[in-house]
Amino acid sequence: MRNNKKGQLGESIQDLVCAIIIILLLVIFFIASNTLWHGSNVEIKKLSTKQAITNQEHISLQSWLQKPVTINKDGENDKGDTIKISELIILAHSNPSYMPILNEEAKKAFGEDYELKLLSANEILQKRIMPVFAGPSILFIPYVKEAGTLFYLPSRSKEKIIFVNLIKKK
Amino acid sequence: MNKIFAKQFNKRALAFGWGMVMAMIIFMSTAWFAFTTTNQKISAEITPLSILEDYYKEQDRLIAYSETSSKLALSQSFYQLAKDSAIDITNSCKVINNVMVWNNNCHPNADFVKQKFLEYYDTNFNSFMLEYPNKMDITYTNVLENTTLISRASPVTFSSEKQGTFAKYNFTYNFEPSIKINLTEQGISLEDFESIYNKILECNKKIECFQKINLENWDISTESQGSWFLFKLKTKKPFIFYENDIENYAPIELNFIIEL
Repeated sequence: MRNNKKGQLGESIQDLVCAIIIILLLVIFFIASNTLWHGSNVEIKKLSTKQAITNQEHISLQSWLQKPVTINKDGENDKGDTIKISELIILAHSNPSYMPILNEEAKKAFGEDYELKLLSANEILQKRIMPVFAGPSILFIPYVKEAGTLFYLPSRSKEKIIFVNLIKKK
Repeated sequence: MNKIFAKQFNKRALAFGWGMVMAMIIFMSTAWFAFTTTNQKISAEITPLSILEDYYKEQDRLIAYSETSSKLALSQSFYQLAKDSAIDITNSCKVINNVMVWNNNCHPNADFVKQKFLEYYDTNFNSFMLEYPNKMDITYTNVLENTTLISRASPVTFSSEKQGTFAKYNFTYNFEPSIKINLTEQGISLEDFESIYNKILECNKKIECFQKINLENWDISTESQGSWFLFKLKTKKPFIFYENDIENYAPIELNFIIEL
C-alpha cells in the first residue's frame, strides 16, 4: 500500500515535470519564433530601404529637371542660352544634337550608376504586386518593377508625351 | 478501498490530460494569433505609407508636367500672336506680300493683345494637359494679372480603398495644382507690341528715325520698299515653339509694314 502510494506520487511528479517541460518548450518556441523567424521584419527593412532609395531618386530627378543649363555657347565671350533641363529634354527628344549635352548633365548629376532614358508610352513597365513572406502569412505590396523613377514632359512632336526615366544600372 | 483510490486517481489523471490539451490549444492559438496580428499591423502601417508616397509622387509629376506645359503654351501663344503681327487678323487689315500693314485702323492694342494671348494660351495649355498619361479631371481658369499668368486649377482628389482583415482603409488626398508664372522671367513682354507701334508713330514716317528705333527685347532689321517700309523684328531670346507640329528652338519673328 505504501509502495503503491509512493509509486503514484512519483507518477504525479513525473506528469507535473512533463507538463512543465511542455510549457517551457512552448514558451521557448514562442520566443524563438518571434526572434529567429523574423521574416516580416527583415522583409520590411529591405522594403523600407528600397522605398527610401526610390524616394531619393524621385526627389533628385525632380530637382534636376528644374536645374538651369547653358546651351548653344559659341566661344568664351558668348553667354549662350540658359534653359531648364526639362526644356533641354524636350529639345533633345526631337533634335538628337542636344543629346550629348543632356547625357553629360545626367552623368554629372547622377554619376555612372544611373542611366537616363527618354521612353515612349509602351516602353514603360506597369506597376506590379510583390508577395512578401512574413511569418506564416503573406503580404502583397505594390511596387514598380525595374521602372526606376518616372516623370512626364509634354511635346507636340510624334510622341505627345516624353517619359523621363531614371534607372539604376544593374 | 484501493479500487476507490485508483478510480479517483484515474479521474485526476484524465482531468490533468484534458487540462494539458486545453493549455496546448490555448498556447498554439495565442502564438498563431500573435503572428497574424503582428503581420496585419505591419501591413496596415506599410500600405498607407506606400499609397501616400505614390500620391505625393503623382502630385510632383503632375505639377512638373503642368508647369512645363504652361511654359510651352506661353511661348507657343507668343509665337502665334507675333505671327498675327499682334493685330486682329479677322478684321479686314491691309496685307502687302503676305505681311500685315500697321496703320490707324489696324495696330496692336494692349487689351486686344492680352485677350488674344490668353485665348491662344487656353487652347495650347489645354491641349498639352489633355495628353497627361494618368487621366485627371482638372479645370484651369487662366488669368493675366499685370505680368503674371495664373492658371487656377480645380482641386485634384486621389482616393483609394483597401480591405484589411480587421478593417477597411479609405485614403483620400487633395491638392490644388495651380500655376503662377512671371511672363517677364520667360522673356515675354506683351506691352512691347503697343509700345513698338507708339515708337513708330513718334517717328512721324521718317526713315532715319525708324532705323534708330532700339528695343530691349527685340533685334530690328528694316527694308525700305519705296512706298512702304518693312519691319522684321526677332526676339533676342530663343523660344521653343511648334510650326505644323515641327519643333523649333529659335527667336520669334514679328513682321509688319508701315506705309509711307
